[in-house]
This record gives sequence, C-alpha cells and structure tokens, in this order.
Amino acid sequence: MASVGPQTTTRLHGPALATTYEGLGIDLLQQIVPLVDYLEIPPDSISRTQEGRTWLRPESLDEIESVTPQVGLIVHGIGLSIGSFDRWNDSYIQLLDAFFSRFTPRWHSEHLGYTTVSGENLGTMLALPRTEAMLDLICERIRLLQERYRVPFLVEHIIHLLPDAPADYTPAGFVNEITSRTGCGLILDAYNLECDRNNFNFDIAEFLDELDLGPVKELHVAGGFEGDGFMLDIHSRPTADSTLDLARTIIRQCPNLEIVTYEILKEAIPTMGYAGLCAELSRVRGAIASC
Amino acid sequence: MLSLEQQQLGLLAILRDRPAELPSDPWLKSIAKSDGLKMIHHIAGWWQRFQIEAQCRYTSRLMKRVGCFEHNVEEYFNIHPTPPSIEELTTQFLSSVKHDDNPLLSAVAHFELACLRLNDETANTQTVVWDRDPSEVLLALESFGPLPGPEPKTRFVMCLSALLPGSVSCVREELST
Repeated sequence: MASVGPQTTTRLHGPALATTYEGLGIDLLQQIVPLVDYLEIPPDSISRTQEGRTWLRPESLDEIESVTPQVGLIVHGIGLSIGSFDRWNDSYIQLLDAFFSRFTPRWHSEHLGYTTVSGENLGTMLALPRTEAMLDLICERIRLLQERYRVPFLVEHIIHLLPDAPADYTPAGFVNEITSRTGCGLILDAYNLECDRNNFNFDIAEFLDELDLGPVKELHVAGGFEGDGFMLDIHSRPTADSTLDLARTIIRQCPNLEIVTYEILKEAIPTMGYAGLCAELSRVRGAIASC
Repeated sequence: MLSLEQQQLGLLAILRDRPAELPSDPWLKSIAKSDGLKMIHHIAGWWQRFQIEAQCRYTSRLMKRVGCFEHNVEEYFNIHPTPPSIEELTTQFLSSVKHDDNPLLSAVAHFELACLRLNDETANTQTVVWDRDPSEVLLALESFGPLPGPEPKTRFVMCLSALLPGSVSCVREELST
C-alpha cells in the first residue's frame, strides 16, 4: 500500500504571534506589543505571595490593561498542578478567578503535569503517567475548568526528564483520549518535542502521525540549552533553526492552529536585551508567515 | 502496578531523598538511579541559587565573600522543601540566615527581610542591630569594595517602616561597659 503523507493546510496569512509577558514593566510592553498579536500571561508569574496568601500584582494588571486595545491575551498556567493525585492548587484557581474578573482571554491553558504532591512542592514539573486512572482524574478536572471559565481550555505536553511510568497508552494516544473525552484544545511545543527526541529518542514523526491534530490551537517555540547531554526546557535563548523548521512542519499539518507563541523566561530577558527579544519576535514572525 | 497516590508519593520520596518512604517498585528503582533525576536535582539547585542571588542581593554577595554561599544554600534546601513562590522562597531563606552565628551576615539578612516586608501594610516597625555602620556595609557589598570592621563598644540601631520618612532611620549608640 502506498504511504500517504500528512495532510497539510494553507492559510492566506500565517498564524498569529504571541510572546510571554511576566510583568517586567511597561517599557518592555511598549517594545513588544507592536510586534505581536497576543500576550501570553502566566498568572503565577505576575502574582505575589505573602503570609500564605497569593494575589495578582495590581501594577502588572494595570500594565496589561493599558495595552489590551492593541493586543489580545492568552493565559498559560504553570502552577495548577492538574495531575496531582490528591488535589490541584487552589491558590492558582484564585489567581485565575481574579484574572478572569478583569479580562477575557482568547483561551487559557495548563501543562499536562504536576508540581505538588500532598501539598508539598516538588521543585519541578513531572509528566503524567499515561494510565486510565490518570485519564479519569484529569478529564474530570478539565471539565470543572471548562464549566468555571467560559473560554476554551487547552493542555500542553511537557518534556520528560525521568523514564516513563508503566502506561496504558502511547504518548499521542493519551493526548487523543484527553481531547476527545473533554473537547479541550491542545498546545504543541516544538522545542519540547525536540528535547524529548534528544533525551529519550522520542519519535516526533510517529507522535504527530498518531496525534489528532484537529484540537491543536497553539504552537510553542523557544530556545534552551544542553547540560550533561540533556536538552532542557529553560526558555532562555533564540529559537534554533531546527525548532523553526519543525514548527513550520507542524503548522502546515494543523488546520485549526491560530497562534504561535515564542516563550521566554523573564530571567533571560536582561541577557537577551529588549532589542534581542524584538529581533527574535520579528524572526519568528517571518519564519511562520508563509505557512 | 502502583496507584497514582503510591507513584506520586514515591517520586516525592525520591526527590526529597527519603528512602524510608519509598515503596518497593521496579519503576521507582529505575527513577532513583536515573541520570534524569540527577539533572532534576541539578536544575533545582541552580534555580534556587539563581533566585537567591537575584532576590537576596546583599545577603548572597556577603555569603560569597564569607565563602559559604554554595554550601549553605544547598544545605538549606536539603532540609527545607522549595516553596512554590519566589517570595516565600526568599523570605524563608532570609529568615533562616537571620539566625546565623555571624553577626554581620545575620544583620544583612535581617535588613533584606525587613526591606521585603516594607510593602506589607500590616507589618510593624522592624529593628535591625548592626555592629558596624550599615551604610558602609551596603556600599561595600554594592561596589564589591572592602567591608568595614566592627566598631568596638558601638551599635547601630536601624528601624524600617513604611511610616518613616524614607522608610528607614539609623542611630549610632555608644555602649557603656
């Protein structure tokens, strides 16, 4: 039987461009807003915690509000810990409530991982076991989020640093179950896929071939670095050419993809510089424009 | 196969180096000796040092001069779980260093902790006692210049409060013997 290549889609214009904003101030916003269509806001990163209470920084909210006439918002969480066996992080839900009381983002999203166990912070984010029990747990929580916030909810796969737990599903099969059972959307991360290929010989082509690409609404690109043979998802550098090549391949296969997000940690911006960040945004925009 | 609870509690035990809490399971055993686990510890340690250096500017600089930064940060986070927020990480670390036997290190950490609490409207006036002129200490740490020595029979009483003009006052007191 002749093999059939992946279906591709062609847009009149490339997907919209977004980048991370973690509350570094209005000077940065004024530089990046003219270059993007959306800001990716991680509520955890614009929050403050004191005496066990966490809230969104009013000054960051004011900064964001000042640019919303020019740019849309998407929310991308880090701290929900959606896969913790006991409970998710209620303080993150409070942050989301506060954000949604002031803004209506295009959508919000969270990583398929967990950062706390029995209330104890792991200091890292661990990938979910691909089991029936985890599917039951996570799909129920996604449904709760969909009921609570009336905008689409997306999930994102994360990199693996530890060997996989015994699994009932393939990586793509697990994600397909989540999206089909809940109707949630999906974020693909081109750099994360490259990390997994480097670290665990992950077969990206096989993954994409098996994955239902219809729910993919957003694609992440980023640049990190290697240590002791591991590619690490510390988003601190310009995007590698190989990542942009993979991004273009993915964009062409995803008919409903709307946004490409260049992710960068605020800690990396002083090194990259505002001019460097702006140059990178223009470069990513150029790379995806023809897709 | 382990339940979700057993899996996650097992991973927590591995990450926190609590072998007594580790269930016997081949997958968890493979995790415990994996290169990925070493990398997670390495990243966590780097991240903790990075945040302490960025958020506790003077304390970390003084600790480096004393030669205890790497060791003390590692020892601290071996004992204390990393809190999820940077603010908690910073305040808990400074609260610990505040009790250091080195009076200068203790005062600098106390000072930085008090500065962080200036934004807390419910916080009372905080007092930091120094054995040498704090402005000279901070200038030396800022400029990587030589640190002043302690002044005999003298103490500097610094008060920090959002209600004070400039948020800070400092009085030099001669101690009678």
